[in-house]
Amino acid sequence: QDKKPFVEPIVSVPVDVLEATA
Amino acid sequence: MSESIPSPHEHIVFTEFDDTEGVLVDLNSKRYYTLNETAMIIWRGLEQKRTREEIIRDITDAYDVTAEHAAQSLDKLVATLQARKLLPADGGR
Repeated sequence: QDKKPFVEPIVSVPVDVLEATA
Repeated sequence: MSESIPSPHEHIVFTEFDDTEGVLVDLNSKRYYTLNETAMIIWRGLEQKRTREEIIRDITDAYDVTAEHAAQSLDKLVATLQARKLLPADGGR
C-alpha cells in the first residue's frame, strides 16, 4: 500500500550551460 | 559489513525543482544533467553519505520494487554517474 510504481533512475545526457543560456 | 558508495564531487551542485525532477550542474565542465524522481532519491542518499543498503531501503520504502531490483538500478545509475564524472570512482570518498 501507498507505494508508487517504480521507475528506473535516469540521468540525462549532458547539456552545455552556455548553449542553453544563449 | 555495509557497503559505501563514493560521495558526489564538491563541484557538482544539485537543485531540486519539485519532487519529480532535479538538476545537477557541473561547475567545472559547465554542463548540466537532469535527474528523474528515482535518481533524485539516490543522489540525495549519496550526498548524505548513506550506505548502499540504506539507499536501497529508501527506494523500496517509497516504491513498489524488490530490494534486488532496486540494488541493480542503483548500481547502474552509480556507474553512469561515475562515467560522467559526477561521482568519483570507487574509493574516492
